Amino acid sequence: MAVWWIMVLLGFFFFGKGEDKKCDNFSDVDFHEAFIGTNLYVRLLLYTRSNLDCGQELPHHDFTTVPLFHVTRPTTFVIHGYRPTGAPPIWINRITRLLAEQADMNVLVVDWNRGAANLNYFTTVANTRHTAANITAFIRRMTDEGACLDSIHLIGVSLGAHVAGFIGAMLGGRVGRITGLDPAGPMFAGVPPEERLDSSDAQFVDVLHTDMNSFGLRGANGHIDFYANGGLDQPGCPKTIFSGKSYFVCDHQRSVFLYLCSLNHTCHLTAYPCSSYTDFLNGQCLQCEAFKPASCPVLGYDLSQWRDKLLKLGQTKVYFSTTAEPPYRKMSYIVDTVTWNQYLRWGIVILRLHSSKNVTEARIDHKLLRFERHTTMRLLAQFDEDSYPVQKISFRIVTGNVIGPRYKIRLLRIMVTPLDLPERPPMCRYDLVMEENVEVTFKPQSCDQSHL
Amino acid sequence: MDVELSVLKQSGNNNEENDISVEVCPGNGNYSDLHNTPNATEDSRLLSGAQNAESNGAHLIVGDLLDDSSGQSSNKPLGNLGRLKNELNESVCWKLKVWMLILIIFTVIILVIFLSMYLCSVHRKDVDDVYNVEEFVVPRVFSGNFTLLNLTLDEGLQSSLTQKLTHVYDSSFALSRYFNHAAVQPQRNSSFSFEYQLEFMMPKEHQQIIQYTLSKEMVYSVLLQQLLDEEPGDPLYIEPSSLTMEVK
Repeated sequence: MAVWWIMVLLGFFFFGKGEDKKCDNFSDVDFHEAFIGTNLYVRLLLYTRSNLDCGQELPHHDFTTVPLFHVTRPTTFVIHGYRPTGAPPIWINRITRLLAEQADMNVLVVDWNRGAANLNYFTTVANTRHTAANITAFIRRMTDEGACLDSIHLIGVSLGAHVAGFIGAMLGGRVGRITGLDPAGPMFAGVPPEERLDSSDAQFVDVLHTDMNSFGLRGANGHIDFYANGGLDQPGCPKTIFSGKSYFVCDHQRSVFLYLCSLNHTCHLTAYPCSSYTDFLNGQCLQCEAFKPASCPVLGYDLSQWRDKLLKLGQTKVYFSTTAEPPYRKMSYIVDTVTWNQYLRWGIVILRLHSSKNVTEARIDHKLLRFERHTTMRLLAQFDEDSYPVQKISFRIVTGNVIGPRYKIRLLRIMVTPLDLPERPPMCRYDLVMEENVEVTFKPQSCDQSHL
Repeated sequence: MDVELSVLKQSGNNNEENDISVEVCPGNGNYSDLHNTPNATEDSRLLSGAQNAESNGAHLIVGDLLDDSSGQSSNKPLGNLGRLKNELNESVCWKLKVWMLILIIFTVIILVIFLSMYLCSVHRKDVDDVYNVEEFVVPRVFSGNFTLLNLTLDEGLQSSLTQKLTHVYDSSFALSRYFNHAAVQPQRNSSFSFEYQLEFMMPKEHQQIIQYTLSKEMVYSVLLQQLLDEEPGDPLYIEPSSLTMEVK
């Protein structure tokens, strides 16, 4: 028996070694080469469930001879963006592995690092068209061999998103799906739709925005546009240039990490259709009647539940907030309060949830909240951590008044409803009086009045 | 203008020490002759000369520069302090000295600040606490049942329960002002169960009150959350799930 095991292990060892030799890795361009500038050279690296970690370069013409490549399987192209230093993207191995886990498909990494690695951004922008033409020709050959355009999915990062858009446009928008991860903004802002990624480039285009105020593209580019934290600054990303490189790339790169996390199924990021991030934060867009019986759209690979409805709607902007670290998900609650104060009161709210394990706090301070008599004031409280089951709730209204009398805020009812977790019932408390800037802590009770 | 030109010419020959005395020289201007003669005996000639020549601010610098050229700078700081003292001791009116005046002004400012803060925080009526019970004339009655968890055959049980309900609504922030009375009666067929009745009085204009404050949800929940907060060991413990309520 032991001899058998040794033989199997040895077999694996040699087999593995043999495989290693054949691995084709992503081009690594030296910085000095990038400095001088590289000429465009497009490679296609194939990853399948049989070779998860070992890419195999696919010839552009005689690809049918490659045994691992099954043209009839769904094919996903991963297209990277601008590489100013020429180093391979750090996420490339993770995305191929995770995509292969989603379905039995061909994952083709479009390695145009020679061409993208230029200090001169404009050269790289010019190369996007040539790369797109190259890949379009390849896809045409694939369809000649029996591939179906419907099952082709292009995932483009930054400039790669526009490359995907160009490929889609050259194929008449018949490609199954394009996913744009923070499409590049510089040189693409304000240009007509045919010169950038847009919803006519594929049957279904989904876009994630994380850095619209520097490297990302503003506006809406797909059938569904996900805006993480409003699509602007991401939590945990440095605010000053003193942090070095990450100051520039952190927000932009977050799109890839959010997508990777959602592919991994470790991040369940629900996004809410809304006209703006401010309205979302104000708790005005927390229902998804349009998608019923499906929930609100969830960021990730599988958008099939929402696809038809989104195509019907034409263009949908969806918003969500994240934390700084994976799994990025914030625990959100809708808080409804009704006051009976004779006069109007304004303030911000600090809400704390206590469980037996921990205490989490949310500050709702992006605007002054209006507490008006007999009017429901709704707010969205988002917590970095989950505190469950909630044993006590602390509520404080901060008005900023330091001098003068302490006003009292009188609540008829406060109702705290977990968002997106129907299995967790809403929590209520009635008849509370709190002084401004003073915390009141209470034990929540069920809001169920149905037996009455 | 001529004088100013001469100043510039002079300053070119002086070093930094001259600048220190610049601030002091205004003191020399008017009072030096009266109060400071011992310190400035050597200067006085020169100063008076400068003062005679000038009547505006600029001339003081002239005097100063001339001072320093006489080599008296080492005596200056002491003299300045003394002058300051003397100036502070100047009487403004009656026996009021300058330093007293400054002190008084400061005290008044601080007093005004603290007094206004005090007045703001103390002398204010909370409009939400002001109401007139006599305006509450329209009754609103709720009734229902509840069951006791622990059976105790106590004579005073009924009144204890009435007290308990009265206490709950009397201590409610929103409902106490409308609360009139509570009544509890044992149910005929069960010794655990009780019937109760709550009466509230509302003002004539009560549409909003019925909708919000004296809604069934509110009146019921105020009692229920009180019951839920209690410990089951209490002999008067009412089983929260048994509580029902109707509007009469």
